[in-house]
Amino acid sequence: MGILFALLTAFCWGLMSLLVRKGTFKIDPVAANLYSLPAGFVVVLLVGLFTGDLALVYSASPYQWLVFTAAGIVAFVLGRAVFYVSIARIGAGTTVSVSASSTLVTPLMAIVLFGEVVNFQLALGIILIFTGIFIITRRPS
Amino acid sequence: MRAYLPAFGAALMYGLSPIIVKLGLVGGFSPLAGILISIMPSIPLSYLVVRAMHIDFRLAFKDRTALAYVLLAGTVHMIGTLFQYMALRLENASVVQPITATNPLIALFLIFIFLREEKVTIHVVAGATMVVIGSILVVTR
Repeated sequence: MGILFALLTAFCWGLMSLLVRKGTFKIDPVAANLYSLPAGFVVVLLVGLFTGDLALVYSASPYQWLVFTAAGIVAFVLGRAVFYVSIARIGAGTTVSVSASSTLVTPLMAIVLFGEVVNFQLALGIILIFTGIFIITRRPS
Repeated sequence: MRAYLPAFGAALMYGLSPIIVKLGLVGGFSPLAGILISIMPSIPLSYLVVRAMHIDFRLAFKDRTALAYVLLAGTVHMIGTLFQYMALRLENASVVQPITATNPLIALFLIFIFLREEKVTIHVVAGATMVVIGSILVVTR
């Protein structure tokens, strides 16, 4: 069942980029982000009401409010806005492919900041991601 | 290369966001409540960004179909995120993350089938495949 949910996640995120592309043909991508946020909020709100997680919002400490607000600014205000802008400019396929390199951020930070040892698998993964991005960005327009 | 900057920006933001979120998920705090807290301030902040950029967001109402796509994108994105949490409750991250990392390939497939306005080139498919394989290697390291 967990695998099914993981597959549904991948499908939803794939479908989302297609929908953004369709929407941003006519709507400014930054404005599109503004409209997409309340839509997502309603979904989480309804699920939160159903599961009881909504009540947990009140139990969050000021530190957690600060951290989650910062995460929201990074992911929803900035991240999603530039994601939409990118989809409108270079297309959904290229954008999702390039932005999938987000998986590199954590290991690169761990290597730079904490001196994480780079094993063979990690090195191969990094090389493949960079090579993939090189191929995508060097394609003839 | 400048055209790809928003996509790289999105990758950076999407990579940083889970790191920040982890800081808030102390003491078994609900991720769903965390998302709720993240979105709430993001909506007015995104509104301020739109206003600061002098974007007339009301123009979106001129094309209801495009607006519907954008609203649906926000909904589907959040549903995908909720599926991810459900998957992570049932399976290990080492199983879930490689599956969800395939979303660019699903996006390319959907774009190829349903989006006539965008061409899916062999370069993008090859590059995306390498990025996805690289991402799987990185997240399962």
